[in-house]
Amino acid sequence: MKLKKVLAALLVCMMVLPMAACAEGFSGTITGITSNDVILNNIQTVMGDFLAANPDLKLDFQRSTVEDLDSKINLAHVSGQGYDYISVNNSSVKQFVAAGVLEPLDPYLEAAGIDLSEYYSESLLEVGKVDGVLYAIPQDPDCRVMIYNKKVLDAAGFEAPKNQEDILKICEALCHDGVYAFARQFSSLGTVYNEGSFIIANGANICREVDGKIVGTCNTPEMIKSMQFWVDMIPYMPQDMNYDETQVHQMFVDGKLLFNIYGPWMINDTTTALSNLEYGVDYALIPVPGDVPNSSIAGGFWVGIGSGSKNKDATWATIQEMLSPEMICKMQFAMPGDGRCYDMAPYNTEIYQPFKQALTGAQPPMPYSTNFNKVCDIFYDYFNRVVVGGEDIVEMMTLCDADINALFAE
Amino acid sequence: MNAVKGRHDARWLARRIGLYLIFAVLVVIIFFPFYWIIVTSLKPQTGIYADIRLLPTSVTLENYAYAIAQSNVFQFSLNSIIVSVASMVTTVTLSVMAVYPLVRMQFRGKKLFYGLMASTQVFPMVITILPLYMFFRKLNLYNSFTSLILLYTATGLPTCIVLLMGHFRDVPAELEDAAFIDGCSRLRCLLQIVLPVVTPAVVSGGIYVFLSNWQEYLAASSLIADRNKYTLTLGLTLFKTQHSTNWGALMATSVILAVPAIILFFLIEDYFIDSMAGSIKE
Amino acid sequence: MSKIKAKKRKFDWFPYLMLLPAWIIILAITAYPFVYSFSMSFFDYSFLKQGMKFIGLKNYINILAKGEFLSTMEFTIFWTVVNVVFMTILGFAVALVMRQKFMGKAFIKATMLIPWVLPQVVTGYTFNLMLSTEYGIVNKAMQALGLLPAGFSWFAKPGPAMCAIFMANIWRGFSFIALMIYAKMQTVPDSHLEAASIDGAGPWQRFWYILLPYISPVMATCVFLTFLWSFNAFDIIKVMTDGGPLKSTNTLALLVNREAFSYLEISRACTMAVIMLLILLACAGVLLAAWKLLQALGRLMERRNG
Repeated sequence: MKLKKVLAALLVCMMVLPMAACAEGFSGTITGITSNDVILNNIQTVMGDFLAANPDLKLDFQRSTVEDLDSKINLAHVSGQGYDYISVNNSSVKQFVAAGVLEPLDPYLEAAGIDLSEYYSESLLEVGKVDGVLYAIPQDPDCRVMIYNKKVLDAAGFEAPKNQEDILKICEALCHDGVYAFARQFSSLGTVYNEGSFIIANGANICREVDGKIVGTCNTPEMIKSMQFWVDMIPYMPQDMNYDETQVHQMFVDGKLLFNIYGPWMINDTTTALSNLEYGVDYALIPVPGDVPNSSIAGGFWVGIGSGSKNKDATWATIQEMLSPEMICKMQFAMPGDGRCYDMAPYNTEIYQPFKQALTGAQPPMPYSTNFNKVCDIFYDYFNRVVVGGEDIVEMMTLCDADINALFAE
Repeated sequence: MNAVKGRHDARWLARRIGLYLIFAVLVVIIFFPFYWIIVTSLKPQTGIYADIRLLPTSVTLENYAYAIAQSNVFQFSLNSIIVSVASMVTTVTLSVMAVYPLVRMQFRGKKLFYGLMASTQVFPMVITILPLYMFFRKLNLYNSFTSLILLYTATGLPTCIVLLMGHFRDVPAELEDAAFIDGCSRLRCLLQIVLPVVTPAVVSGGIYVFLSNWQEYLAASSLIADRNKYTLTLGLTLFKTQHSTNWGALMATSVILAVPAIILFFLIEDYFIDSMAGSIKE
Repeated sequence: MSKIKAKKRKFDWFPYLMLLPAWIIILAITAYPFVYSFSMSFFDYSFLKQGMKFIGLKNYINILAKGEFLSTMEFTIFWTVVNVVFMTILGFAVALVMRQKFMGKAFIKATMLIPWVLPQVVTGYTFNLMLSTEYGIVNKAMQALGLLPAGFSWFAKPGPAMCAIFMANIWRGFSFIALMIYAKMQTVPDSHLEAASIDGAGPWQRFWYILLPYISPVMATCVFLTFLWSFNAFDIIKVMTDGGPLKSTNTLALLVNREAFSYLEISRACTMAVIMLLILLACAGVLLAAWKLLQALGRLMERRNG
């Protein structure tokens, strides 16, 4: 009797075990957080095959506004319920690593035999690295170029500006009767990334890393020259400083705006007025004019794995799948960091070429630090005191350096 | 009487005209921003920046269609209703339960409770939301309506209690004395005698709580993460991304948000005003 | 009171049971965060690093000694006082107008709460759109009437920016105040007013000696409420000016929000919130003293007038 029972149990085991081995794929629920509506709208459909191959795996992606993203991720982490898939703002990598939120990704890359430097530029990868260890991979990066109103400029007989003096000449000729050159947005990050594009185009930086320490470098000839450029631009800019990009593009389409800093996130957006214009005829994209050729400020979102995740392997598999060129092309992010995507639709069109070129020279606006937002606010304050308040450039830049150095001395 | 009227004719007319003038100015001031919201929601995308006049040249419902079809506005409305109604019910119930002993009975801890209520009103929610987030996470209540309802109840209780206290005081004690002599328990007294008398106050307290929570943003944005659990106010953020603003859909959703609240208030306004008058006794 | 004496012997659980749920909820959800924040203000907790240590009053000293806290506090108090004054005056005026009989009164009564029902962010966005230099209806209308110069911008200089946020916030609040005052005014027994009118009192005297004292408790409540709302007002200012041109419209609420959600310095933000609370209590104390003074003055005048 007993032997029969043992034999029966053995038989059952022999039948079940192979089936268990066949129930393949990862299981569990991957909680993710992102501010990217493209991911949220498309993830279930685009990743359909992947999810079918892993039937026990569920993707639970939550939405956050960009302003709340970092605090939500940090709060979840300190509550002991950190997210698995984390959408990392480019300036937040350092802070997340300092708080222990992100998991090092090198082991996963080695195990999968992937060498990212084959497809991503060095400067892009550096953004996701802290002390040489990779914590985040570019998923939705971007960089900035300048858009100019070709129709208006052509009608007046001007060519595309090649440097900042050209811009001033064009403004002098064309900017009156409600026609403006640039429109500002009233945010410190907006100023550092947009107005700052002209600053790094002159080879200046808000701060630099010297001997492992961050030092304010606002009181330098290059920065003073850049600030002077913005002071010269004041008469050619509208007085309101709280425009959002929708309004800016409307002004552009109305012929009331000549130039603007442009990023690839608007290319797919059909609600913007620019989608009614024809690229190359009505408007065109050029690198930001300045003394340094082909300079561009990189930004955007990276992706990482939460250190408190209980499902790291599944999360890595998901991320690996989402970062494959086919997936990136299907989800239509702002622009890919992976060079291979530029040979595939929709990124092989003419409008993406300036961005592909700018990516080679893309750099962060300044060395990242855990208190990046505070440094931006300090610079924004002094920038405004010069441009809006009319105070002396050298004096303000000296004070700015003093404040930044004091901040890092604490 | 005729003689008096005759004497005041010119002055009376002047007063009348002045009154209607002030009335017109008032209507413009109160209503104009909302009129602008409605007008903007009815303009096509191109018109929002091009067509800036008091009466728009072209009118379309495409923003409403977009809001309803593309972004699930009905779902958001339902969520808002669930959260607001549930928190209204809990707040009112707990308020009634609390006000009755506070008004009718003497016991230790009364002053302490008043103090607690008053002092909790003062701290900004921006800071309290941080420990609350962690608190709800630990209780596994994050991203659930329960956490939001609890928060709304806690913030609504002090105001609701104050609103109700005045009315409860108005109920004459003799009503209950009669029932007491007949052997009625306190709870039955409350439910069957006092409550019917103060119903207008309870309703108005409920409406006040409902309206405050209907348009609340900070707590909802911190505690709700799933898009299909968004309330209407959170749904508005879908139209204002980091880089672009869909003004038409934003304004359309705002109208959808405001109209039920206005209708509700319109229906109950007499109740509301009468009971507010009665409740403010100091 | 006979019912109390009858139950004196047995301990009455009833009031405590009835109050218990309210106690629990308020303690857990409102009191606990306050205690947490208060204790956090003595550490150096932030998301920029791991771990925290006790640093005593260092946060308080740092925040009060250097930086923008004190100048922001000045503007916050200015902002609060102006808001309270204008909301109360406007609300009062509207309530007075509402007492008259005229056509369309029901329409105003029904729509009066619209400003209060709209979420603050929507109010901010709407005023942004209405006051925009290029695309705002207000500028176009006022320029057509010759009241504003061409190309006038509400958001470029501190003065107009302050006006813009005052407009938005006062619009939001005064209707609720008007409703409260109007409601109370309606309950003034007509007999009092008629008697006074028969005695020969004109409308101004009726207003000053009968109506005003009757509604003064409501006015006190209104002042207190608007004070609280304005002091902690956040969404409207953030959306419209975000601290304004050159930090001229920065309020303490914006400062705290930035410290907590942008700089991720949790302890410093908690410290600022505690200081805000102390300021609020101090202001409330001043208001209460002023109120008591006014009441005493009123009684003095009554005695003199017989």
